[in-house]
Amino acid sequence: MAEFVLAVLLVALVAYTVFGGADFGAAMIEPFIVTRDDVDVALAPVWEANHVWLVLALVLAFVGFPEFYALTTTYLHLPLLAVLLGIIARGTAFTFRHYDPNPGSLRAWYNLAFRAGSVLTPLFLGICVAALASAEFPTDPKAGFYAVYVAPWNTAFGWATGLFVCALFAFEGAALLSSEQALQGLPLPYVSIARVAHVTAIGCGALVFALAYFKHLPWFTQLVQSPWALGALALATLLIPPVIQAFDRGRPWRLRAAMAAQVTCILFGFFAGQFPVLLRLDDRVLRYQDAAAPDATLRTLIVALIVGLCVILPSLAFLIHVYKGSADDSAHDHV
Amino acid sequence: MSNLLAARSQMAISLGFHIIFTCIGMTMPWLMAAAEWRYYRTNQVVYRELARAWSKGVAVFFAVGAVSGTVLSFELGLLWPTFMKHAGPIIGLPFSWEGTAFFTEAIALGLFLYGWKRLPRYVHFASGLVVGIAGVASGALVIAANGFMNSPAGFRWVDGHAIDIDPVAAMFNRAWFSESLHMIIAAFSCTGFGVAGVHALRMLLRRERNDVHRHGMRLALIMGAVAALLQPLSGDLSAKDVAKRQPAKLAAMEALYKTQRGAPLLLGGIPNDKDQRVIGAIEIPYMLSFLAHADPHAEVIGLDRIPRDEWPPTLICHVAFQIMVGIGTLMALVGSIALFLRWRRPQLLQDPRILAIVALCTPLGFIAVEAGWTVTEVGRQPWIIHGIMKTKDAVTPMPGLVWPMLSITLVYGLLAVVTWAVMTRLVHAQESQNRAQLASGNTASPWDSNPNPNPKARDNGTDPEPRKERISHG
Repeated sequence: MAEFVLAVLLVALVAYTVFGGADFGAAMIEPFIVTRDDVDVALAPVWEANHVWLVLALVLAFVGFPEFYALTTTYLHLPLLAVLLGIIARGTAFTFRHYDPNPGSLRAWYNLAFRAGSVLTPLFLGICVAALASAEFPTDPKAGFYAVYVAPWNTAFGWATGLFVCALFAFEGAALLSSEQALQGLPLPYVSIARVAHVTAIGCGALVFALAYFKHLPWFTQLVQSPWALGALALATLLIPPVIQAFDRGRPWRLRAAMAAQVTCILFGFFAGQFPVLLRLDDRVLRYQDAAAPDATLRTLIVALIVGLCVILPSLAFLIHVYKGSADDSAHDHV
Repeated sequence: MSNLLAARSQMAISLGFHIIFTCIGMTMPWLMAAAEWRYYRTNQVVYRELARAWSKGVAVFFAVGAVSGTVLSFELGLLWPTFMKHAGPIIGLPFSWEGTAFFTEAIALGLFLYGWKRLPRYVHFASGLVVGIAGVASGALVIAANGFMNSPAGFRWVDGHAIDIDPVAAMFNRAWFSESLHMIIAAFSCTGFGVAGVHALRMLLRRERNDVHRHGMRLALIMGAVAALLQPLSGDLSAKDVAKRQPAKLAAMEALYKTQRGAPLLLGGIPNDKDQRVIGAIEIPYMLSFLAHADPHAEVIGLDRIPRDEWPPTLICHVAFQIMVGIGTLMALVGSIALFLRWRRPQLLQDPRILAIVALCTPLGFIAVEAGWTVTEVGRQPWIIHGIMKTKDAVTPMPGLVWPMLSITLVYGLLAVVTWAVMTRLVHAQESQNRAQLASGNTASPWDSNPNPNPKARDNGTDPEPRKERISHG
């Protein structure tokens, strides 16, 4: 049962990266594009909904794997705080910008908070994930503040992963905005931004692997021995040409599908390399079996998950159907 | 500032901020749905305008509440990792249901906000109703977790570990029902009075009576007044419950130092732990015994039966409790006057003196909610799980917690100011836009003073073709 919960946790993270990632990316590239209306239209109203994937992942972590959650939030307190500040800034600034009828001089601040928050959150989420793969968290209580609470995540590998996530999200955002336009039969205006983001993402991805190789990270050693991880990452690499092609030819659905598959492969490859380890302490390794909650908890959690998904997925589909069904006048007829 | 105090302050600030937004977010959709219902029943445009104006408010409060709620789900671990490690598997169940309820609420709100023209009217109305139902449900579910902290259930605690975990029993703990009921009624009451107060204030300041403000105040006031009248009953239930489960909390709330039969109820007063006396309180003999155990001669346990190191902070609990009860009584009084006027003298509801009283009530409910949560949270101290785990043993070992606390405080302070500014501007924009409509000769605007006393008149303020009319909003 722990495996099932772990799988749903991974699915929630994939969904957050695919749907939420595009939202973050759209905000990141916003300074370089003509009108923010595109961003507003592309994000709303699914914007609030996308965030719930992160909440779902959190709930699964603390109900299903409480010790993992407790250790992560203890050692990664500072980067998680940065993630939080980003979530607050971005979420509220977007809402205020949307609903403030007369922002005046505040508009610049809304924009700044929205964009800065949209960089802060993925950057530090990437750093947190990298720390889970690379760090051996010190258990000695006398080790000192820096050694315990900063050093495990403040690494070149961590920052490279953070940048990779940012670049990936920026590309997703550019692709999302472009495909919105393509669906309406308009030309693709974000081509150069998307290209820069794509090249950066590929470069950062290569950098992440180079650093993992040179630092002899246990995650990397395990990764190159896992056929699943290698297969997934190979597939992600092979998907690069179809993504470029779909983008060049303005095929929005093919682009979305290829990108979603690519992101899924990257995350899956990452976790396959880590499996069955969740994180490493300097005196032991925490595997998912060790951290799993008792069966009684997992059973009720799974029931709640299944019922929840049966309620949520159809309603979400209905919302998207209603919203995207008449996208042409969506910019101005809501209140 | 000690690490523990910093962590507790950060939690208090985050919860205190979140609670305002969720109270509004879970009860204002009911107002918005009620207004839309009235619109379909009466065909008066004023109700549609009201539903739209309120739905914008709901959107802002919901979005900020969603963000501060996400923050809290991180903070539980960032500040109290030991608590989450042990309590997560026990009390995670309501959190996972809450996730579903919250997601449903978000989706339904999306449908409501963007579906005015895209959905059949009853589907649209139903989506508004779902926002309200899901909001109340998620409130009740989250409170199950707090109920568990007050009245732990569904596990056995052996050698510092929980065994034989039963998540369903933990969710339906003994504190859950009375706490949820009290909180939900409080949310309806404070939102009702808050919304009514804003409309009353606008009518007072603009010195004109327009239909949107008039009907808005009336609907919201009815909701707030009914809830305020129900609240003392639910409070009585809670008090009897706390007397049984957490005598230390009741003793601190009532500043009862000595265990006694026929215990008096203290109104006001400042308790002093050192000489164990209360200065300046009014005593009502036998009342506390009667309220806590329905028997004027029943024994009420005082702080003398509680080990000194397990006393909650008496001063904070007692004062916060007095504030909550005092405001609650006042709101029930104003509520009954309002309902009486609505029933017998509806015109008097427009009287400037009545408007002023309603306007003054705007912040009261929220102050009472904050005070009530102070009572329940501070009254549980020094325990994070009553009788099982102390708060000081649950806090994160990371030093320097005062800095995260200060940064969160700063951010939330800023957010509160900006939210206030945006809401004010939304109200002003709505009014001036409709004044402009009036100036351009569109007499169908419900925002002007209605010269026609008959609300059912179809020539003014009615909407013959509701689905086709288009009102441009900013």
